[in-house]
Amino acid sequence: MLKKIILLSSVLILSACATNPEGISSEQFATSAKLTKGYNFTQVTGEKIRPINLTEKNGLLVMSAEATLGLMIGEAQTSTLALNLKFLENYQKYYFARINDVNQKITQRKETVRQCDDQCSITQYMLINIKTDDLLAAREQGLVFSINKTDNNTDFIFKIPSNYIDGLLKRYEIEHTVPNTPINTLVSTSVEESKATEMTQYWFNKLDSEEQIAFSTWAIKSSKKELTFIDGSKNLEKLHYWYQEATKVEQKNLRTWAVGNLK
Amino acid sequence: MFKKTLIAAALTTVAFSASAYEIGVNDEIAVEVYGVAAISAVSLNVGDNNQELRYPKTDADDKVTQTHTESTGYELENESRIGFRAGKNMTDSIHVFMQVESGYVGNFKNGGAGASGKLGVRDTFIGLGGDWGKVRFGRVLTPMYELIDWPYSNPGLGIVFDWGGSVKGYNDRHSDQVRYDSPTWGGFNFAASTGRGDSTSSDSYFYGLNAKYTFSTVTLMAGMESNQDFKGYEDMDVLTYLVGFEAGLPGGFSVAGAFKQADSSNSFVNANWKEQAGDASQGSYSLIAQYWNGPLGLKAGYAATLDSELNGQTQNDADTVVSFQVMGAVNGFVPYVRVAGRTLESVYVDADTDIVVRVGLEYGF
Repeated sequence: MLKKIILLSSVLILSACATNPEGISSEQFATSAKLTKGYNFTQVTGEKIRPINLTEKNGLLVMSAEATLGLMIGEAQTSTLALNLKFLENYQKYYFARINDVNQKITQRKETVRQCDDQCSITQYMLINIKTDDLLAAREQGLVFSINKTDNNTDFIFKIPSNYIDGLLKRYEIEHTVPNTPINTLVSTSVEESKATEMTQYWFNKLDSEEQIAFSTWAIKSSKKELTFIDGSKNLEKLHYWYQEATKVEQKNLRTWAVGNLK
Repeated sequence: MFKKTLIAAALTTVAFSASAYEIGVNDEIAVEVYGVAAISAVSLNVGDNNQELRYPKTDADDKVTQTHTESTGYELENESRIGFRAGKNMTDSIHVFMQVESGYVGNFKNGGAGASGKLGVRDTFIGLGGDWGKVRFGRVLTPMYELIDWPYSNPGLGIVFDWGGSVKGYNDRHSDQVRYDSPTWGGFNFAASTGRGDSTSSDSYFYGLNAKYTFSTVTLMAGMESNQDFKGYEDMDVLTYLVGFEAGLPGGFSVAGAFKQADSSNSFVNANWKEQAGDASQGSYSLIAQYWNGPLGLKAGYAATLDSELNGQTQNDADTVVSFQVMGAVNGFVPYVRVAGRTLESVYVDADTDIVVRVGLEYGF
């Protein structure tokens, strides 16, 4: 029984602790991140960290701050930051966040808590939206944001460190099917591009064996230098049209696919 | 059974820890365990004063058992406590939440181990919340007392500005209460509550209010509380009000100050917490300065009661306390050292200054 209690206690303590990101490598953050694949998105959720506090001396006191970043890649391209901000009670509430000079109203994740002993503190549980593009741009420098009383104020200032953001992106990249493909090209996948892949594969399957080989050879050679397209059937022309509609990444995937699907 | 309950509670927390208590997301009611770890060593009479009590201590037979104070050395006060919170949306615009919190688990004044640590001793309520504010039913702070408690009774000023003085004028954490807290409109918000003073006394009611207005780094505060048959004493009507401010200054400084006044009719609760006949009134004030340099903070406070009035006669019973505190804020932990000087005319005859030293650490989890 005692062992059970100790085990459960340790789980609770571990789950409650936020990591100090200083000195942690992006690979370590990548390892601890959790990846979820949905219908039209992939979400990578990092471990809970203590964001870097850059709040100026303005009478505000951060007692603790804990942040969990959920990197969202897909159609929505809106990531979320769950921030638990505990500060010395000053009878003010902070409902606004600013990222790259853009203000937004913070979503309250659960009821604000006031806790008093010798000191009184307020803990606000916030949910902040972040454009995934902003995170991509912050991969090397980190992302600074502020938490404010109104959209005209600048009150608490924090930074999500670059090693944390880099770690989540690395986790995404390593899980993705296309090796050695930079994230900024992967995340630009769109519905139209998927259609290009689909149609290319459709018309490729309509070709006879001879034209399939001819197309595959042309496609591989033309990836290195520009070549005039080969003459052939109407189906080959349609295949060429949709292949040109595909992105570079998709074309690379299609070349690999074509070689493996010859008649 | 107790161990089983603990494990069940722990399992519940683990199960919900990934998305604990997210409004509008979960179908289940998520429960979280929280608490405060707070321990301090305190010596209340470092100078070993031997002062004469205004109200000698008596036993159950009213036999006097103590007429003078004596130093009893230091004691360890364990003000740790534990609580549970849960919440779930009832509709899109109404969130239902609840809290159960224990009292201090430590051994206070030989009251017995854990004697005050029962669940429900501190804030324990069921509430409804939304964009329109929140309303709580149960045991919570009264609106005016919330301001008295913080910021105006810290550091260590409560002996005078909170529960001290010769005319007691308000409830503090109180059951049988309905309290509404408004949202903030352009820096203004308010709270109002009402409830039973002593639910065993038919005419014992109270009504309370606080209001706060913030502009720039300044917050103006006001509060009032009206009690009929205060604490169940027949015809004892008390009105207390408070006005105060808190201001953040450049460079990590901030200051705060408040004045409050209690007026009791027909009878009043005196410094010995007993009913006494007469109309009584007393004013008191509190001044606090604070400075934070990164994680290190310094705080100084001074609070005093004015001489009270009893049936129009001025009494010689003004109390004062001056206090200095050095503290830190390190990843949620707050270590602190405090030295205070208390001169309590309402408690002692020809009071001398007692030196109080407290060293403590607290952490909310």
